[in-house]
Amino acid sequence: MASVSGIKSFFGRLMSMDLLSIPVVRRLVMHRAFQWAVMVPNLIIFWFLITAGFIGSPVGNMNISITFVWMLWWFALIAILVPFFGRAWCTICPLPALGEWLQRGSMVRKPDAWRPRGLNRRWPRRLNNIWLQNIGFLVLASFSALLVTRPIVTAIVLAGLILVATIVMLVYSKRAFCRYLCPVGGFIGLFSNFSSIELRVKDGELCKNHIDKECIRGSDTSFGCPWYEYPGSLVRNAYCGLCFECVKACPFNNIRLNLRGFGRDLIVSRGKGFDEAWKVFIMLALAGVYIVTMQGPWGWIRDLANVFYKPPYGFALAGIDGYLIYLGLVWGSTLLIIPGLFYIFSIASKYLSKTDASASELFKTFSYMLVPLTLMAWIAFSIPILQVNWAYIVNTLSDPFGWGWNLFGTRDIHWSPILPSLIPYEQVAVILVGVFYSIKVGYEMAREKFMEDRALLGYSPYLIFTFLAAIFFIWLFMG
Amino acid sequence: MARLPSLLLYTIIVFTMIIAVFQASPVYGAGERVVYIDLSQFKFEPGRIVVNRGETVVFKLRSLDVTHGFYIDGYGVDTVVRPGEVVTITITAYQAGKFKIRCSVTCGPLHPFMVGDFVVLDGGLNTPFILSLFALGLVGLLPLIRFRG
Ligand code: SF4
Ligand SMILES: [Cu+2]
Repeated sequence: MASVSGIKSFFGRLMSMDLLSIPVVRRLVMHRAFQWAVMVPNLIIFWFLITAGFIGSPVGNMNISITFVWMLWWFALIAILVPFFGRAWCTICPLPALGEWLQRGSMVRKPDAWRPRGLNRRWPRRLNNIWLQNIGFLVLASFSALLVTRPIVTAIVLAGLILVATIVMLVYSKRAFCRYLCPVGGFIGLFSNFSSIELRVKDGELCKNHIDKECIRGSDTSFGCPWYEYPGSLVRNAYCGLCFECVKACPFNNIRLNLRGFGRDLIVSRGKGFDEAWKVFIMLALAGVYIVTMQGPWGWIRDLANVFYKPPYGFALAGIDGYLIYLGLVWGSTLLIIPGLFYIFSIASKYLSKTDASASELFKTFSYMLVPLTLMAWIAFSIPILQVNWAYIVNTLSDPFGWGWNLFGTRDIHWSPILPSLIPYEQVAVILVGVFYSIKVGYEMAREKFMEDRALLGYSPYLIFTFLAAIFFIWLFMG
Repeated sequence: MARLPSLLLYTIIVFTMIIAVFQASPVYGAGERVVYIDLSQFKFEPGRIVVNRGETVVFKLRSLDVTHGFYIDGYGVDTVVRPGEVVTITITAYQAGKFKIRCSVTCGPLHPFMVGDFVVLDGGLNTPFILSLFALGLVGLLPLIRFRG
């Protein structure tokens, strides 16, 4: 038992430890070249992937642009980076690199008497939300069957994102692209509220009384927060890009980076909005749509999504009428049907809890409880991508363009899934983890929102909603 | 604080053990079933095959367009189906649950999504599915119990 309590106290200490108090970590993130050094290799890899998409084989699983982006990167992002490290992807993301360097007129150092380049405009007030990200994500999701199977489409989209990011950053100030436009950033931000790491200030009072606020305005060694955040009021991970500019700026060493329990930010009411609520439903509904289309036994649904296809690997104006139905499914389920259902459940909750809050207020608050389940549904969706198709990643490592190279001798490793009969059990286990945290977080919300003796009753519609969603996913995997 | 995660863990362990016992229990019911499947870009027709545990299943496979593969998770089946031929595969459905049928030969852009379901029932029931729902109930109720009182 001694060892058990030893382990517990070890974890206890680890969980309350400020990672920035580790000298190596601190020195690393304080260094001006840190972000540059992690972005550049990534940028080179992305350029390579884009090139492969343009000049390599049109066969998706024989082209490294598809295997690296939609198998390896996707899995690492959704199953490791996002749940455990919040927006850490944004630390190393190559998409805004060029724009940021141009905007700063510098890749590493902060020049003396620095002024931002470009037009440096303020982002329009009306667009100060993630609706553009929601729409952008839905647009990409609408042709995902093309995106994740055609190297050239992936290449065009990646190159396009770099181009748009660069232009936006030359017109608007700071990381406007990341915060308001990037279709990936939208869901990373939402899910990072669940993740087990947080960047916060140590002493909020100190921030309040500190007039200079170098974390916002910048200092000799820092450009200041490029994400329009003020670390002193940071209560959620959603829009902290973990760039560590604030750490470099703060003269009082008042920034900390902590491990913490999962899902903490979901119960924070400050910053919640309908734009984010809809993001939850977009992600929840799309997880279902994707598992049904890409991993389900229903060939006819797959046919609907398979637009513009000319056998064997060509492009043609074909399958458009079916595709319209698929579009209806993608946009209808994400924007109307699932949120509509949740709204009906919210009316039930209002009625049962006898609360003064409106049904739409409850809708907004409780939508966040679905974040853990939604994230886990995406992870469950992603498990077979790696466990079944890992060979394609290894093959394309040796033959990135599908030209018959065999650089590392791994080109001909035979496609064979690893323990595939376990996949449904892994998927169900992951869903159960999501259910646990969703219900836990939701119950905390209910106890805060409703009167004590009505909390469970008022909460029951949301419990039912969560169970129904979980049953649906478990049925897809196991039923 | 640490009570809940460990409870969760025990639940999952028990849940896995029950299924393992079910799966290892002797096979009853026998008989043979012939299943015809058409393979085409990017589907199996029918996409869902349901059999009983212990049955001998004879798959008669035919491709309607290009060369496809026929792979069943957990059953060690992996064969090539060329257009114009009928491939016969015989297996005994010895483990219950849902297993994906996959195309194992690159056959077009959506090839990685060419999947079907092979469902093996245990005495007419999909035991792993039922046990999953049981586990869902347990896991879902845990957070509520914790905060009572
Ligand atoms: S608070 Fe701002 S400066 Fe600090 S890491 Fe987050 S985004 Fe960067
Ligand atoms: Cu095929």
